[in-house]
Amino acid sequence: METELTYYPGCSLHGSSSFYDTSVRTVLSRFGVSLREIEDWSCCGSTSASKTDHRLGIALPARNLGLAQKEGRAVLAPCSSCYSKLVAANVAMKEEPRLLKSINEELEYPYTSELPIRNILELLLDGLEAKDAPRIVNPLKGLKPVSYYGCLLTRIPGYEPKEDIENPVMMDKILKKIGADPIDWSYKTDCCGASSAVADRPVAINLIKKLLDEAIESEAMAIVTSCPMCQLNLDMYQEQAAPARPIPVYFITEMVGVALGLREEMKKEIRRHFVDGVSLLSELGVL
Amino acid sequence: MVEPATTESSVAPTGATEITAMRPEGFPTIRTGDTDFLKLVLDESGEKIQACYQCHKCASGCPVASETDYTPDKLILLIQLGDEDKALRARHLQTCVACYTCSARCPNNINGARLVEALKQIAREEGIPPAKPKVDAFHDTFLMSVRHFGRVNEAELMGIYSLRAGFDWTTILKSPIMFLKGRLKLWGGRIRRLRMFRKLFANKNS
Repeated sequence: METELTYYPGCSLHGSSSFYDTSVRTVLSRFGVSLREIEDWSCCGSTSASKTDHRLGIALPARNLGLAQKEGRAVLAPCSSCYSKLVAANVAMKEEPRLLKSINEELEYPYTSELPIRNILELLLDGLEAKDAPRIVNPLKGLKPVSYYGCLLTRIPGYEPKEDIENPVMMDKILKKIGADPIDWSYKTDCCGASSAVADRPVAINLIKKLLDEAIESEAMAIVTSCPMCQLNLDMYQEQAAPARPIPVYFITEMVGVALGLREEMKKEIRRHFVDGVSLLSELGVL
Repeated sequence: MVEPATTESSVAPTGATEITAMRPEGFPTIRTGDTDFLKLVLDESGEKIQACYQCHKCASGCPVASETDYTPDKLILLIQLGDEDKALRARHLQTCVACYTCSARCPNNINGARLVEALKQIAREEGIPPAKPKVDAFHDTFLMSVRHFGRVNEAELMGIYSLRAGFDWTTILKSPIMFLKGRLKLWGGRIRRLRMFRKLFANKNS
């Protein structure tokens, strides 16, 4: 496992999900991983760029990877959208070399040699499986969550993910490692609607409702995710989607943090959710 | 030249082939031989859509299938039939949430989401108004914010988007809560050397 990584937080982790940034940093420091933020990073363009202009959709992540290339280390992007776009730039390097070459001509730091892009689940699982892994002092006994991946962690055209594209299990493994009892369900990689929650709300609410209803139907106590867009949509629109009962939506880093005994630190972050996530963990005696 | 295998055809006076049978309801009579649009889409998307054999796997996995008009399989059929107008005015160009389910499942490796992006870009170049203008307004505002600062400023994004697409009570009522929870930042920071950065946006569509 890398002990030093280049870090790409992205706009969400500097904005509406800044508390995810905090839990990522706090937890990874416990694993002895130090993160060095890409200096002068810019937006990855997310879905908006690729939907509008294919070239821009590659140019924006390539700019960041060009900056990261100076350091030569693997790049961590905790946000699923950022992660998928950085990987898409790597795919373009192989499949559309001419496009990347023309983009590079406009970059101060061209992106010329492929950097490994890591997601947060790989790092957490590596950290927990390491020989010198920190002790799980506060196992999440009694917590039955569903793990929710969303779209962009595994479905990246041209890229073969490290786990099954239709049934990824890394998050379940992490949850088991920290003492929780994840429930299997069929909606792990279904879509939350992403930005359509703002721009095409009825479509998004239907998707959000299906996920919340199915989680409750599977008798899950909570939903755990690693994507800030998924967390925001599933957490913020529960009044509109009206599931049978409110269901907390945690970040996987918050779960690992609590299990590592960082109760106060994580409580502060979980308080920033829309749906109360403190009560459930308190009732289980872990927060 | 694309000839759907399941159609009976007769020779039309012009020499082009007119498809007379097995036409899905609502699809116009199209003369094959008009492959200009197909070529344009192939160039723009890089997707080999001729390989589609209408298995509808993309449609069955599409999370917005019930709320859209033409899922990728149907868009491909429209393109193969040369019905440019329907393909470029499809509501799906905006309803598509870019979840990449169709792309991941296609047995012929057609990236359906990329196809939708390409159609959307062609429609824009041809000045065809989007079926759902609010969706395009969102993406445009998002990119405008990126161009301004190099990063998305969420307050600016939501403010300007509201001006463009109309105020929305859910967002307005949630804003103070977001602010109190530290989830609404008024300033997202900016990058250096913005002039050079903005050159990346020089393309026709962005």
